Amino acid sequence: MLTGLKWKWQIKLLLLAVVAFPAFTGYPLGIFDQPVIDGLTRGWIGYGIVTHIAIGLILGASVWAGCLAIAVAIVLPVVFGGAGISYLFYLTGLGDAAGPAGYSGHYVGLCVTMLTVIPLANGLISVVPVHEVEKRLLMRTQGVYRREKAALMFIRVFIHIVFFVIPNILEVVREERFKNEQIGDDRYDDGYAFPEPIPIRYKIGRAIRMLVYLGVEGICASIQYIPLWAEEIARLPDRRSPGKSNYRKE
Amino acid sequence: MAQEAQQKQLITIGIIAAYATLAFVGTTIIRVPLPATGGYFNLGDTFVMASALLHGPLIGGAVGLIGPALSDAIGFPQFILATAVVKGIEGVVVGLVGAGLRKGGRSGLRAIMALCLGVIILVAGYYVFEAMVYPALAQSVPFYGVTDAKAALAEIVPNILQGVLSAVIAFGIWRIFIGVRK
Repeated sequence: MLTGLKWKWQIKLLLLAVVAFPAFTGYPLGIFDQPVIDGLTRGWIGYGIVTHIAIGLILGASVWAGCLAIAVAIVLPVVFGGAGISYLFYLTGLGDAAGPAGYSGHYVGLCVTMLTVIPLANGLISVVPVHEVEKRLLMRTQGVYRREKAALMFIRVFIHIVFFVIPNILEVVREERFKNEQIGDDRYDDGYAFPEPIPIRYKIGRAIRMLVYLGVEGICASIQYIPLWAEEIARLPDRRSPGKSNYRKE
Repeated sequence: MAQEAQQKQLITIGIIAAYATLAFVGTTIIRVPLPATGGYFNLGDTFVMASALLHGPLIGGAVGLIGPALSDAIGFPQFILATAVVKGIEGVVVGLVGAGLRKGGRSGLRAIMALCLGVIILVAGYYVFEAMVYPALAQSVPFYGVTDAKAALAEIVPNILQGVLSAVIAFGIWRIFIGVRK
């Protein structure tokens, strides 16, 4: 249970795909559609429990815990933020007239759905030993198919962005955000104890500028190694399907 | 020569992968839920529009098709179909209208026009899917029974906000890369 099944990753992937089938098609969850509360059915509660047990058994407790932690980090702002926004709508008279009683069930249901689907998606991603597959392709003596080269490129870029570019950008945002936010503010500081308030349009402009710079930084950091990787991968010997070979016989 | 062609192909794939991953991350990290439909507000469109403006319709369309749909797979699988189709078309159209940008035109007006069209496609596309396509599909596949005409109407304003904000950021990115100065 702690380390998961000692099977090949392909079999684990297949098992997880079978478990994921109801989440992405709705079958057979529709059969158990008796609501526990408005917005949450027995089918989804049961499916959620089965999914978490399956992830724990197939991938092990530590991977399951990691998948769950990521899911919680994504779910909390969505569910609580959504409920908060719904409440604001209710206060302004634009939202559900029944108030929290009218929409709470929806967010509980959303929470259960997301806490089921996100760990499953994370599990499906983490079961593939990407580095091992990459290493095997690079070391293969018979050559590499073109589609495998394309996949290799895609995987390399994806991993580079998710594990290097984004964490670096988040760190920059965390460490330099407050400093950046204050740049230019001194024009509103006239030396009095209560300086002139910063206009809202200035704050919006500053936020958009920050998002633009983050976007540019993200794009530059993401594409910088692509020509180098393309050259390296293109140099791998080509492998052709039997019958499609166009090598001339000596 | 063949290796050079292959290298160019791989660079294109790499660029699509980069923007699609950024769109995926942008959509996943910044999520503001919309109470009406259970969907969410996000800034993934920024990278779809920016890629289309900077690299043309092929890359823009591919990025729109892959990135945001990947994000929908995590938590909102019902919206994968609508997102892939709408944002794929959005990328292609923004790229097609803005394609002249790289050929010496460098017109900010043309970029703005392309982005405006992108926003219209985003808003109209989601409305059509949520008000018409999904309710029709839900009759045979209950999985798609998540929206109706009323909910789709309520999502128009947040979608306009999402589109406009994404377009403004994409325009800023494009300006920095192209070096256009008013």
